Amino acid sequence: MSVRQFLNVLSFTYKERVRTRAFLVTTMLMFVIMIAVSAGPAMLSAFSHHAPGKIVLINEARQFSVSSASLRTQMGSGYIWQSDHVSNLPILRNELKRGQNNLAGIVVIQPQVSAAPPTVTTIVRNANTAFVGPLQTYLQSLYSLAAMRRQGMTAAQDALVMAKVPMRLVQVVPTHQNRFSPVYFLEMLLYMFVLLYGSMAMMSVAAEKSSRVQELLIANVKSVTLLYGKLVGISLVGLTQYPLILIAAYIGSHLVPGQSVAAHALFYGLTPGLLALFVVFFLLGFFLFATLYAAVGSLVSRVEDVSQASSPITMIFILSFMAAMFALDTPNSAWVTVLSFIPNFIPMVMFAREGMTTVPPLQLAIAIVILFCSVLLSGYISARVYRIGVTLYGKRPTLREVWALLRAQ
Amino acid sequence: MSLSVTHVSKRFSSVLAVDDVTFTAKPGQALALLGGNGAGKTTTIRMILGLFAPDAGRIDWNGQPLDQRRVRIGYLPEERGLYQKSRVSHQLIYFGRLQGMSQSDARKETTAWLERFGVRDALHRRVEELSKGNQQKIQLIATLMSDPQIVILDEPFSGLDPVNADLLKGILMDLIDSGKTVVFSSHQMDHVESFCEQICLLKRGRIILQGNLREIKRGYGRTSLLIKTDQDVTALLAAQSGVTVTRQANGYEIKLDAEERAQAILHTLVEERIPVVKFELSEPSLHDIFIERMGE
Repeated sequence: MSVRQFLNVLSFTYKERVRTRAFLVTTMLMFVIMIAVSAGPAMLSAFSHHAPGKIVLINEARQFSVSSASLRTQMGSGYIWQSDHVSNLPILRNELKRGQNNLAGIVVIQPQVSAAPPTVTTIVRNANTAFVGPLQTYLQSLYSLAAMRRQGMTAAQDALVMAKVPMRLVQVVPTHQNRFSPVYFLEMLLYMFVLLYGSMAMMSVAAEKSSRVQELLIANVKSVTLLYGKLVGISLVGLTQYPLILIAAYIGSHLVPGQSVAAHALFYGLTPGLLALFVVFFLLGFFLFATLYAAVGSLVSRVEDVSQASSPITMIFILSFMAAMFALDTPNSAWVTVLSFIPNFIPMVMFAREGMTTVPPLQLAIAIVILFCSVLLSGYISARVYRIGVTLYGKRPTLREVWALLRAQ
Repeated sequence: MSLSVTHVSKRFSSVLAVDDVTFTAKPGQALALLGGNGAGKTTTIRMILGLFAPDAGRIDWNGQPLDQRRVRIGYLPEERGLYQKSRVSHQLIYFGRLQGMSQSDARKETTAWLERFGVRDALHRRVEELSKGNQQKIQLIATLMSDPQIVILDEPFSGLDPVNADLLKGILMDLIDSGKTVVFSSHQMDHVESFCEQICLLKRGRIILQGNLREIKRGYGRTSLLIKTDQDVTALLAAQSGVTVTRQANGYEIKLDAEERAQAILHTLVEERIPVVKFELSEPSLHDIFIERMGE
């Protein structure tokens, strides 16, 4: 393979893609969408922080001492608590129904006969019931304390009874659940990139064949040089977009200042190692699928036939994406471990494992070696098919015919 | 510096696409590969280009096996092969680079050839924005810009208007005069006749006629007669023996089985006092020979 010719093909392929208006538009669009997607959680959180709403407390139970002031300090989460009288309940219900006065809910505490605990009715406008759980816990503790006080317990004993039991969680096989969002995001990006650039390689081969540019090219360049020059050129297009997307995601998630860690979820827990591993799996995954795609592209005579002919390869890749989605939830299960060593699953599933848990370095290395060898094998087969395919016109050959031609070669 | 194809055969599964083909293309001459669809022309060309290896026989350049990586071959495919979305300058420089030119030479030659073809303004335009004729010119530039030693042209005139066809003819004549070896395939026989000395007629992979075109024609004798007259002489000509008459817009084209028949026809026309505008006896055209041989 002539290095000069390889670089010629590579540089033409890369420049021709990057110079197009379509590339410019899609890259800008991706950039803007990434900013919007990554800024989304922070913005939502910012908005909800400033307008959590007002909750009105109507306490009818005399023996049950709870005030709006204590609720405000105990419940947190920014709600404004106000006390009101039961006579205003109909008006308040109306206001709540119409969404007036920033009213988010009404809590009515009514006494029961004898010593039974009071009934708490919570009225909300729609599905906003986030405060109900903490409210119940708080009221329950108030009721228990009051009941114990009636039984003669002193204020000093209160603290002893109500003291929180310290909880500690130790994972024997650690997972990085806090990295779910960034790993999920990178999995989506990996899926999109391999599919997008893999099919770009296929379309490019098919278009060169149908427009007969191929005949000019293979008269001057060896087919294997042409194939690899093209694939490396296209992979570089992907690597050009990758940092731009990361920058967009970074800008987006830091667009709203002073937000909690949750708001920066898209970047939380990401390490340079994981970002580099993305590049490794993108390149190997791309070459594994793009060589197969290119072989298919070389066998069809018309660009229109490409998507149908390539659907089995696309299905295999979609399958690996689905497996990776399940693997994000159960990164330590046996089937995920097995799949992470099967060539076509490795890029997506091993990345999910490494993202969500800690994979022993040896396993990671073995998977990368398996994938690398598979890429070499598929590259070898694909280059041979490509050499035959690009000079075949007319009806698309069957697998058996391709096999016969390969053997004849 | 001749290109020799010697006893070359190529089989695709059950089809024998090229069957024992032998010819030599000499420098300073154009050789025409002729034949109908499926005759084996393109397969022969592809073997010369090194896209297929022959099953049997050999292809030599200057007495040595042809090494496509060492000998510059300019190839113009039958169907236009250009990147439609790419700018002319980008892809011509790319093709030039692939043919071994330096970046600056490729750039220089691109501009010079575009000027020569009168399409300087196409330099920064996308191919899809150009007319068919201009696209064909760009394709030709891609073929010729690296100063190839062997030029293989598959239907170079398709899509060109008469003015551009003449321009191309001039360029091809220059190529032949400058000592290039030109192999030429076309269905347009008048073009082939105007600058090909050697022909090679293929049918179902085999050569059925080859040699110097002038000698081949001479071998047929003067059996093609053209008569132009304002009068209707159909019946009179039909009464002659050994002739096949075809009525044309303003005359008659007559195929004779022997050159001597022409004298009998001329005698009859004079006897009948028919005013004749043109009476031309000539060798058959390549078109006639092609039709006759392919029909056999």
